[in-house]
Amino acid sequence: MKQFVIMALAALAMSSCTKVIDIDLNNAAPKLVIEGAVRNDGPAKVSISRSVVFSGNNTYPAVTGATVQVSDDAGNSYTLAETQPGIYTNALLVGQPGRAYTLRASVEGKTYTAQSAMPQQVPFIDMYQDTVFVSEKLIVTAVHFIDPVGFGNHYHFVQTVNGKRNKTVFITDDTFQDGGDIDEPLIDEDMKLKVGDVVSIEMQTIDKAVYRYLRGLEDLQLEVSVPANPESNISNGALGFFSAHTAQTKTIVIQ
Amino acid sequence: MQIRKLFTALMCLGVAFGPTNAQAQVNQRYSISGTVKDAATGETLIGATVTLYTKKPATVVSNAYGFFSVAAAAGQYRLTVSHLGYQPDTATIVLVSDTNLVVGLYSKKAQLQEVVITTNKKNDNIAKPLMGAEKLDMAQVNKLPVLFGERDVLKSIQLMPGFKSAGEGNSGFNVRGGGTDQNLILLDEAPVYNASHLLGFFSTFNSDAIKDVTVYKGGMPAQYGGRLSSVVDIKMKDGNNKGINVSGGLGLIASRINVEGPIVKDKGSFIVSGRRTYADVFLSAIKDTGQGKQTLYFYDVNLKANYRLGKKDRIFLSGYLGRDVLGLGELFNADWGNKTATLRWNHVFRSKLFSNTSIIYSNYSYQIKVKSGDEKFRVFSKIEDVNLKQDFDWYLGNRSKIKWGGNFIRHVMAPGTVKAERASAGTSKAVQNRYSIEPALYVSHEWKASERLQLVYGLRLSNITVNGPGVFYKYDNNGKVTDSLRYAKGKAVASYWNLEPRFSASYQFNTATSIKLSYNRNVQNLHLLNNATASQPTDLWLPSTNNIKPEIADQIALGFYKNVAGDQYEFSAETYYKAMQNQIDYRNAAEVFGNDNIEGELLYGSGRAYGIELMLKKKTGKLTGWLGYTLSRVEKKFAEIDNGKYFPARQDRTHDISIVGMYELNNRWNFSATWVYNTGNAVTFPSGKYFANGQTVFLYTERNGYRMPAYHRLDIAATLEAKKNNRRRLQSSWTFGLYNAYGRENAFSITFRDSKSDPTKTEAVRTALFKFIPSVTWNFKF
Repeated sequence: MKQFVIMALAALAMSSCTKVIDIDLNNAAPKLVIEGAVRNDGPAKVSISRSVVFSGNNTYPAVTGATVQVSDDAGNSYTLAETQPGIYTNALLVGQPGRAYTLRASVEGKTYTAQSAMPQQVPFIDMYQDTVFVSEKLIVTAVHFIDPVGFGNHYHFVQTVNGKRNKTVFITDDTFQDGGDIDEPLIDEDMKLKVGDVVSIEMQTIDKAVYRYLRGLEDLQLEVSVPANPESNISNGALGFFSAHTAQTKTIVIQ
Repeated sequence: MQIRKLFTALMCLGVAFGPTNAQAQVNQRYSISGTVKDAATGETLIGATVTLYTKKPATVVSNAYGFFSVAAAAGQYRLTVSHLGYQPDTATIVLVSDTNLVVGLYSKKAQLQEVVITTNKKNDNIAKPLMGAEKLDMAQVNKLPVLFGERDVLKSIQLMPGFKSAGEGNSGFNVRGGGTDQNLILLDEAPVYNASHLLGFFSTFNSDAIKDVTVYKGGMPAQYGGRLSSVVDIKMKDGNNKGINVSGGLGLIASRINVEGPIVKDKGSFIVSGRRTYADVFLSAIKDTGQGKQTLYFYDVNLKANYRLGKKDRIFLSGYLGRDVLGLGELFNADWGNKTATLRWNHVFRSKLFSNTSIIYSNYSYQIKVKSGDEKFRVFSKIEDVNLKQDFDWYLGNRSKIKWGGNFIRHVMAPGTVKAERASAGTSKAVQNRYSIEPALYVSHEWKASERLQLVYGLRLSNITVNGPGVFYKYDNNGKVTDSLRYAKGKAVASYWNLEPRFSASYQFNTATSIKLSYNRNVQNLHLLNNATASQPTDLWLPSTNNIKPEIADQIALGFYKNVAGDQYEFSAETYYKAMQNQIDYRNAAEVFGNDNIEGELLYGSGRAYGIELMLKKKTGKLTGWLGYTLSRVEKKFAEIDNGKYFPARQDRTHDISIVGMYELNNRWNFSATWVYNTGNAVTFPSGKYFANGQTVFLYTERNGYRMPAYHRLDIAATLEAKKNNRRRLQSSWTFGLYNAYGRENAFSITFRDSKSDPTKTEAVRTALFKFIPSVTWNFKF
């Protein structure tokens, strides 16, 4: 439906004008934000920070001194150490597909927990350059993979262009293409790729709760529905999400 | 100013002119029934006032087919017939037996130079008991300024108190706090599920083909049912049964053509009306990328034919077909639209009992083709209704009229089936069709209890039953499936009965002052599932099921009406309170599309709406128009949103003002202007921000806790009639318009993002549409 919205906006653009305006917004009390990831290709990492008011700078206070633990359903438990302010890691914790992980973070006497199951890895067969016509000719990168038979596979693609992460959320699932041989271009009208750009894509297989969280983020980006905080899988009212996912990365240079 | 004899086609049946005969039967009561028509075109007139001057004058109103019936003892009486926009007329009737008449009225426009003296009081607004009902004057609609010069009944409705636009340039509307899906929009009795083209910027109704529009914002009579907030009852023209007529218009973004004429003169007629936009011409002019060809247009066709089979029977066939087409190169192609058809048979049983039998078909569907990589996907969805309906109007003397009837609808809903063109693309999760039946019975009594007190009251019994085949789910409080049950074909899954009382009364203090009171309960059994902020072609409807309960609204309203300066000015004040049950909202990030467990994504709550609506209307003179003001509130409550507190609905707008003026300079130049002002919509803005998934994410603390800036806009238009030339049949006019004449940058949306100039900051961005949109349309008729 994303394309549809893009199209609708293009049609409206006939006579629209945009302007940056001053707006008086309430200042929400700072809320705890936890973002945790257990990966099959590298160390686990949990970032803990706080929200700020809208008018403030985009610097988010790190929450230091927290106790962070991750355990799996095989009985292993890992403590993550604070390696930078607000960043907790453990190099020994490398995730295994099929295992369920539980995050437990204690901050100032309150404990926050979350579960995430790492899905099986789906081979990332190919990444290639393609051209699509949206409202103009657009160079894009596309992914190719084969979805395993059986509904319930969810994918997240993180695109990095010349070392800078693209903020657009690219997610897909197999609702309409179970068991399919899938080719999917990652379309972002604001990302004008040009010859010589180094583009890499990290393909993640994610669980349903994480997919739901990212869908919430995508809805916010598309501005199609009433804005709301994405549904977090972390308890006790913390913002953010905890994801156990597989990851594979490919890189190409735009020709 | 007795102009001419009014009964142009007087077909008095069995009228024996003889005083002795009349004398002999003086105690016997006879009825005068018949049809009111436009004398020039033969078009039947709905809502014409027919008054028979017996000792106590008896007044009746012609029904949806122009039919009326009054009764009196034998004798000689004066009869007047009048209708909005027509010369009223008078005749003397010698009543000696049941009489049938065809009354032809002349349009006022046909005699512009003559002074109009009305023979009967124009105080319908005071006397009629129905509250919150408004009849649109189509001649007026055609003069109002509109976006792109495309005249539009649904946008004209929005200029009346109680009706609010769903958004900039949008044909969707909210009535007394209700949702845009809570309006029953009927085109020749067929419900139109998606009444807009091009994402809401145009309505599906081509005003060339429309004869009559009556809207109800409360106090709906019992014959209407199925939606909570309003009824918009649109009747298509029958077509000229005197001679062939061609009319049309050329506009900047659309053209129209309308052909009407007799099938057999005075017996039957037809009308065909078509419209096509060419907005895509502008799009491709902006960006033509060869392969990336963009298409964006719509067309619609209205058809109607009627034939009179003798004096007592008439049949009508009407149809509508409209389609929007939108294409974005190969990437994305979609088309969507409505199809409706109505076959009706009018029969007069004796002169007091009028019957109408209808078979109604309505279909809304969309098809989307998406090309993703090498794969092509096709999405298809539809809602299809077949409705059998029977209505009776029984004229029980001059003070009493009973309407009763019933209908039986079968709904089939196919929510978004996705198919890949190549087998290797995998299989789609099945989304099941839903089958339901919706029967209803009603009875309504219109009663003039005394000269001062009039009542319309009735009862509607409605049911919805959702049937198999299919698998139905049960959900827990978090929307997770807890159980699934398979039902065989035709087996009832859930069934709901509801009684809907309707009551409306008017008490007249004198001919210029009255008060009215109404109470009505409305039930809605079809629910629009759309979590977007605007109308979309992918609107999905579902019936009430084991999870979704029927939506119920109870509304009570009180009004005061006063006419001054000999009915030249009408003033009205209405206040209402409406309580809504079983309202629907969505969970966050709800998966609406292609989800068989969609019901698990829904939240159920309640709503309340209240307000005051004031209107001052000037009805006659060179300058006509009105001034409307609404003070209102609408709030919703869901246990899962904001801890179960009431929050303002999106369409909650405290103040709403509309001023409409039309000035007739001479018989060539007409000017019109409208000015609207309203408090901004309630919206959800962030109150903070945080960092997650590599980006700034905004933090929301309360639903609809903020306001968009106030909205206001002035539109102007001028119509120039070409010089009359009696030797030529061609008549034409030019309409010039300017939408948003003072170029107010009204906020269409306000969004938030990382600042482009300073990445360490975030900023708010306002998007405004439609600043100074000029239009010109050439209309012709021959």
